[in-house]
Amino acid sequence: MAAVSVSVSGTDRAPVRISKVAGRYLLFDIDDIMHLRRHHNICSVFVGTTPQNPQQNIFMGLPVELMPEEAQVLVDKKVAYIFDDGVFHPARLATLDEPTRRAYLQSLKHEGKMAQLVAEESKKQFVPKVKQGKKKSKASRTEAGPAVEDPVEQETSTVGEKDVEDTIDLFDSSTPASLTSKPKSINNVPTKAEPEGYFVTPTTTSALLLTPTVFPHLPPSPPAEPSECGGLSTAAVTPASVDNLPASYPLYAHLQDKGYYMMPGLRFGCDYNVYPGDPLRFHSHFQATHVGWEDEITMLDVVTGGRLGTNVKKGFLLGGAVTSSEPQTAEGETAGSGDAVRTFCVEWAAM
Amino acid sequence: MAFDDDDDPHPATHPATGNSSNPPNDADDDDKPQDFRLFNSTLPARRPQASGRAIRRGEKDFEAHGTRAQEGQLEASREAMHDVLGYTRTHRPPRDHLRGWYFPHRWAHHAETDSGGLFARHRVVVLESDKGSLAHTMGRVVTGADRHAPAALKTWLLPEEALYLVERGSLDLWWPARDIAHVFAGKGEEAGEDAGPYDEEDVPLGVPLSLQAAYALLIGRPGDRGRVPLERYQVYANLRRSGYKVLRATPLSPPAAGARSLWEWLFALLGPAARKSRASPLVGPGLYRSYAQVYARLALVPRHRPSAVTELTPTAITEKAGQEDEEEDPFHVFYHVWNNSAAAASFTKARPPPPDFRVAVVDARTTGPPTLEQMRGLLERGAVFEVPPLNPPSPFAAAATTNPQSSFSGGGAGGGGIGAVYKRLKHGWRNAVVAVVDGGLVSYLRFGEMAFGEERLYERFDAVGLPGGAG
Repeated sequence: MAAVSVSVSGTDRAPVRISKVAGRYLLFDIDDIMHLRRHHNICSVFVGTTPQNPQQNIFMGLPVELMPEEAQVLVDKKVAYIFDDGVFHPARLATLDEPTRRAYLQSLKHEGKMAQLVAEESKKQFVPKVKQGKKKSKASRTEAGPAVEDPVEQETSTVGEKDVEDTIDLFDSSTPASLTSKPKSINNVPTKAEPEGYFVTPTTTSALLLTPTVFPHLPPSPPAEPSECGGLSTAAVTPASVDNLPASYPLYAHLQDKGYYMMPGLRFGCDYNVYPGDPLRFHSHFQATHVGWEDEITMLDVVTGGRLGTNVKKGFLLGGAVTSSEPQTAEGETAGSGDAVRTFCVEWAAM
Repeated sequence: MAFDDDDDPHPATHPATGNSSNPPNDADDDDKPQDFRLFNSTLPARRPQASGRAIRRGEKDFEAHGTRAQEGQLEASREAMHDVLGYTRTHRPPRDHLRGWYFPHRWAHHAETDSGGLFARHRVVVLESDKGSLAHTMGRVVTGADRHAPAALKTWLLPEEALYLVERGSLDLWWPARDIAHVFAGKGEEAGEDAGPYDEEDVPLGVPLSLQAAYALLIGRPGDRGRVPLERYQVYANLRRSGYKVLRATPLSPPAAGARSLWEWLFALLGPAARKSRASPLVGPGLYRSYAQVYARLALVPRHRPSAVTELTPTAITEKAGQEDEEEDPFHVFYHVWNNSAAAASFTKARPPPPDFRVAVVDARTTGPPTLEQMRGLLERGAVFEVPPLNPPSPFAAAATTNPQSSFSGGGAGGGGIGAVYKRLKHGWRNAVVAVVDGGLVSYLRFGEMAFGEERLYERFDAVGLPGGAG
C-alpha cells in the first residue's frame, strides 16, 4: 500500500475514489490523501484512531472525512469521483465466489508473512540499537515495520486505565525490546522456525475491487470501479453532484480556487478555518463565514466575530456569492474564478 | 457526583504526549494539525532514527516565504505523516488475534425484553472469544435467547464498538460466506487456533474485512438498525480514546408520580391566589419582623423550580417507543459516560453505576442551537429517551430529597458563603453534555438546568441583621 512512490505527478494520476457512506465522504487510501494534500490543497480532517497508539486524540489516523464542499470541488475538477461504498460493499461481498475468496486470502497471507518478517527484522535490529540503529532504520520504513509490538502489549492490558499506563511505558521505552518481549516468548506456542504470518486488516478494499469480475448488483453510478482497473480516463468521469451541499459552497469554492487550505470552522465559530498553506506548516489566517448577498448582517455579529478573530490572530472574513445584477466593479476578488464571490475582512480595532 | 465533575469532558491529560515531549499548547491557534514528525519519533521502532536529530516541536510559520528550507520542513512533515498513516494493522496469531464475524440479521427480530440496555437488535458482530479485557466495557451476551443456538453464548458487539476495535487494530472482522451455524460449527474454544492464518479451512468461511469495509458496513443514517451515524461513532471513539467508559444510554423507566409534585401543585395554587386578592400596595402596612416576609410578597413573577421528570401518559410513551428508530430529535441522551476512576474495579457493563456524564450527539451541519422545547426534551421530559435525573448541588441535596419545602424555613437557602451560591448555580440541578460534531471535529458543551429562584439572597439579610437585633 505504501509502496507507491509519492512522486506521482498531479496530472497523470487515476482519479481518487471518494467513499460515500451514509451521506458522508471518506478517504481511506493514504496515497490518495497525500496526493490531494500536495496537489489540490485539500487537507480536511483525519477522524480515525491511530492503531500504533490508540489511546490519544492528538494524532489522528485514517480515514479522512471530507466536507461535502470538498467532495464537490474535487469532482468538479475531475480529480475524484464519488462511489457509494455503503451500497457497494454489502453487494460485492455477498457475491464473492470461492476462487475470489481464495485468491484474496492468499494475497493477505502473503502480506501477513511479509509483515512478520519485517517485524522480526526490525526487532533484531532494535536490540543492538546503539550501533546499527541508524544504518538499518531505512529498512524499517516499510509499512508494517513500526509498531508491531504495540498490539501485543496493548491488547493484553485493559482498554482503559491500564492501557494508558502501557502506552506511556512505550514512550519511555528505553527498555530494550528484548525485555518487553520476554513474556511473549514464554507464552508463545509456535517457535519461529518458519513464518506463519500475521493476520492482516487491510486499510482499503482495493484488493477486492481489483478482481476483474463484473457484478450486476452494482448501484447505477456511472464512474464506477472500471477506473480502479485503470481503464477509465480522467475525462470520462462524469461529475456527480454531491448532495447536502451547504449554502456556503460558493465561498468555499472561491477560497479553494485561490489555493487556500480549509478546515471545518467549528472551533472558531465560523464556517471555515482558512490556511495560507498546508496546516502542517502554517497558521491559519482567516475565519471565514458565509453570508448571503442580500442578507442583513447585524452589527453585533460583526463585532463578535471580529473580536474573536483578533484575539486568535485571525481575520474575520465575511463572504458570499454575488447575486443578480450587481455592478461588478473591477475588483481583484471577482477576477479569477467564474463565479463572482466577494469577500471582506473585519479587524476588531479597539474599544 | 462531586463538584469536580462538572469540568468539561475533554481529557485533562493526553497520555501520548503526557511526558516531556508535550507540544506547546498554541493558545492563539488551533492545536489540530500536529507535527507528525514528533509523533513518528515517539513510536518505538522509530527511536533509533529519531534520536539523531533534534525533534522539532509543532511550530509553524505565518506564510510561505518560498525558501527551500521551509519547503523541506513541510515535506519532512508530510513524509512523516505518510509513514505513520501508511501503517497496516496486523494481528499476531495465537494471542492477539481476536476475530469477529459480521452477522447483521442474527438478532434483527429479537424482542427487547429487559430494559437493561441490551440493544440486541443492533448487535451485529459476534466475537469468537472474549479473551483480553476488552470485554470489560463492551459487548454483551444476548440474554433470553435459545442457549443451544449457534453462538448464543458469544459476546455480541454494537456497531460503534466493533468499528472502534477494528480501527484501533484490536479486532479482525470477517465477512461470513456461510451462515452462523457453519461458521461456529467446528469451533471448540481452542480449535482452529493452532492453524496458521488464512489456512485452507478458512476459505469456505469468509473473508477478512478492511477498515474501509468496516466503515461501509457499520456506519449508517440515524435509525438504521445495526449501524451507527458517523458523528455518534466519532464521539464514541473520541471518548474511548480519552479513556472514558462509554455505553449507550438506556431508557429510563417512567418514574412514579410522588407526593412531592402534588405538594408543589398545591402550593402553586395557593401562592398567587393569595396575593392576587390583595389590592395595592404589594407590601401593605403592617409589622414585618424579617426581610423574608417582605421579599416573599414582592415575588410576583413565578420562578422556575427544578422538578422531577415530567411524565408522559402511558399511551404517549408507547407511541413514542414505536418510533424509536425513526429519525428523531437529536437532542437526547445517547451515551452514558463514566470516568475511569477508582470505582473502575466495580464497574459491570450489565449493571453499570449511575453515569458521570450523559452525552447527546448532534451534527453541526444539520442542527441549530437547541430550542427551548428541545432543551426541555433533553433535560426534563423523559419519554423514550433517558433524561438526566435531578442532581441538586450538594447543600440542597439532602433537603431536596427529604422535604422540598425546608429551604423556606431555614435561614440562608443553601448555606455557605456567597461563593457557594455561584458554585451551586454553575453546577445546576441536572445537566447533559452535548457533543457537537463538525466534519469530524468534536466540541463538548454542557447544558445545566439552573435555578436562580432557589437561591434566596434576601434570607441572608436577616441572617446578618439577626445578631444585632437579638442582642
